[in-house]
Amino acid sequence: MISKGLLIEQLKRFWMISFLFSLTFIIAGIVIVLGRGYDFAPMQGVVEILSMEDNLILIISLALPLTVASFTFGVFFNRKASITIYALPLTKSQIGITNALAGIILCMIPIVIASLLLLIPIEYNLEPYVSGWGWMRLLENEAIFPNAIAHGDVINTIPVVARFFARMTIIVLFYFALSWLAFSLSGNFVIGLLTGLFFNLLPAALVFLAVIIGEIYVFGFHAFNVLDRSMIVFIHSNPVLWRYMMENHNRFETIMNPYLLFSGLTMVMFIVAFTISRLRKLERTGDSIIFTPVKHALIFLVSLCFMILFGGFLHMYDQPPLVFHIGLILGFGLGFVISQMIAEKSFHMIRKLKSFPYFAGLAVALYGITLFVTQVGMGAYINYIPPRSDIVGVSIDNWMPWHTTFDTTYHQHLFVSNPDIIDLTVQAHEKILDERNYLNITPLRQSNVSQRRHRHIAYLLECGRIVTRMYLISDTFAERTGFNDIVYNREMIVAGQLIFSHPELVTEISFYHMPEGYWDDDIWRGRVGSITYVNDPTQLEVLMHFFADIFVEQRQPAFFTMKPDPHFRPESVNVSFIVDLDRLPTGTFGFMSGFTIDGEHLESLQDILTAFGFPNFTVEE
Amino acid sequence: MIQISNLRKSFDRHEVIKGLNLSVNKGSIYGLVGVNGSGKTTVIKHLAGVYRADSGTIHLDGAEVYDNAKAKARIGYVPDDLYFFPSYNLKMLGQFYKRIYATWNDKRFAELMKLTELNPKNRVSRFSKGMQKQAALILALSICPDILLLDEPIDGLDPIVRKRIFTWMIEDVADRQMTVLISSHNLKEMDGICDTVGIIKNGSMLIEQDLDELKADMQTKAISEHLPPTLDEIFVYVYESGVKND
Repeated sequence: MISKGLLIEQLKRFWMISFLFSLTFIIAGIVIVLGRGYDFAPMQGVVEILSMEDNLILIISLALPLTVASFTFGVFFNRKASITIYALPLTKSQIGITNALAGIILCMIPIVIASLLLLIPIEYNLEPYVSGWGWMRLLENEAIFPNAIAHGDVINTIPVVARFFARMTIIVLFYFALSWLAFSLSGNFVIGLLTGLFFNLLPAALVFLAVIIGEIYVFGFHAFNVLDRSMIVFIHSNPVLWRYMMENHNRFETIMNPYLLFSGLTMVMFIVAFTISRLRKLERTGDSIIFTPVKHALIFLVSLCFMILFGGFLHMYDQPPLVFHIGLILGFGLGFVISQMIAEKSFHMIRKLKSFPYFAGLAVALYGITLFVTQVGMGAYINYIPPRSDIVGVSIDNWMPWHTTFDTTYHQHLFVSNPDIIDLTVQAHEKILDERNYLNITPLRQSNVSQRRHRHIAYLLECGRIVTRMYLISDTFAERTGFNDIVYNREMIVAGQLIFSHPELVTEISFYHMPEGYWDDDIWRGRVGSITYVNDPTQLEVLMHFFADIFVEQRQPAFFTMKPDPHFRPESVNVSFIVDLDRLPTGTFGFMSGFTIDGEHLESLQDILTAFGFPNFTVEE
Repeated sequence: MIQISNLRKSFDRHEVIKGLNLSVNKGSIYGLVGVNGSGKTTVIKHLAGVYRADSGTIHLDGAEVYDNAKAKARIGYVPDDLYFFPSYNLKMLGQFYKRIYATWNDKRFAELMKLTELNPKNRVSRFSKGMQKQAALILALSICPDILLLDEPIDGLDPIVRKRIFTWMIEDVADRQMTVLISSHNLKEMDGICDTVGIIKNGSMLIEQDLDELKADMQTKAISEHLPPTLDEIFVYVYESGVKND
């Protein structure tokens, strides 16, 4: 299956790539290790290489497979070369597998050399007096040191280096397989690179499109932070980005073991690329896309992406249906022209416009199917309100149940269980559904479209499941449907704030009045004013109840009509809460740590504090 | 030995080979002639196993050529557009071919090299066009092929190199019963070396016949002032009259 002769030849021809990347690894390693300028730097540098935290290592792991694939599969882009090579007494399978194997070997050589160099023992020799962020990062690096490391221990043990080797191998082979796949579809290097990039973006783009379509057409559907969801998919189809976003910055949650996912995807891409390489027609070498159906599919997909992005953009800005649909049409047309230009490598588009009606017809058909599915097929979703008997709690206008990491085990306090409020919520929800238009893209029958905002309803069911719906409605409409009665209900507002629904978590409250022209820091450093601390449990309970009342009042519509802005009145007082973090359920997030008391309530606060024995509390400068 | 039956091939919905039939006997030198764009190169690329036929068959002693390593191992192919690994010299290319072709003959390679002025240590990509053609032919002959496919091999070459190439080729035909299929515009040269010709027009075979028999047939049609008619005159007559084999 493998041609030994061709393999040797490919390795002989392109060994320089491996050599240069090995050299880059070494030089990059030296730069990383020595480039810090502190005593502890060399060790930190090694740790950063081993944990692949350094960006240079990530760039190498992307550039190495791309460069190798460009050369080993260069025959795909050169008509003369392809004729000469494929006339050799080798089958297409042999040529494909041999080139792939040569590429894998060339990719692996620098990784093996880097790993062998990393095996040179380095002892942990930091002195306790060493300070600085680098040192902190070293100690914080749990990926490398799951347990405490003692002075004199070797930091780059064989398992640690083996993990570096395995990760680099998985990442590099992923991009090599992706490059092979993209190059096998193309007869032109630049288009091949663009195709690879497109494939890399495709999973995230599809999720993005699906979510946007859902948001536009499925009444009540809302994916919390569409971009976040697309990014999660994107980083899971992009190992280098995953390394950067996840392990360095921990920005998104993990779907599954990513290295397992990347390895699986690599295998799939190798198989597909091999199959495509065998099916390639050599006479198409030099063309942008080798297979006409694939070319048409890519043109259609790109046009569709433009169409939805244009429409989605206009939808975001609440444009009327006519403008929205014009946006869809213009987006599709623009996407078609741009993708045709790239596919044909020409600006002369007139002849190619003949095929536009076919593509446009398909888009219209898809649009029709989308409408049918979302309006008819999704009817059960759109019109669903859980049976009253199943509902044990409701949460209004709180985004937390939409968060991807939301867990009722930790956040049950957000749901109000008062049967009256649940009844009111269900009634308001029914009214919203009754008055909806056929197409969600048209605003509801509302007097003032500009005042629309997203309103969230979340039901906690007896079985523990959460049902969430989101509606873009105006205040006028919210008032008419009774939705506002629930939003401004004291119980609902208090439930939305952990410290008010569970005041026992607060162990200390501090007050300070900040005179005009000073900063918080001036207060805390004692330059001006004074701080009063309260930590008696009984006093805390009274104060938290008092603050909850103010908080509820501050959430009422009338509060916002007061002038000037009550939050910035000079006579206001800042309140900070110290929360016992150990008593918080694991995974709790988004609780309030302080707020401002406006001048209206200062007198009452002074009365309470004087009664508690804090006569020195003053609002005077 | 070489048999093409009802070959069809389209590029971008444009049919360039239209049900072409071709037959080459072992040990013969077959001249494939036709105007530019008539489909000669496409036919040769099918024979070399590079292109896959849309329909029809291309057989070498009964075996399909396309994607068949064994069949392709018997073929030496010198394309019109030559390609050599960029930094390689002739010696390195020889080593590469030796690894790929089991029939590679070092002695033959060395002998042929001696007959030229080519420096085996110079990069082939820096050779002149004529030198590159010679290099390609040396490589193709050194694998001792049963079939040699030459696409416009003498195009743009000086008479000395042309003669040298034909001499090597004819020696191999005489010594080893090698079969040669050669395409060219230069009908005068073809007239002297081919024993069979196939005249191709718009992707179809007009005439395919033993050259001597063809000349005898054409003699009766009085297409020339002198006898027998030249291949040039036959070609013009066939093209203009559209006469075909039965």
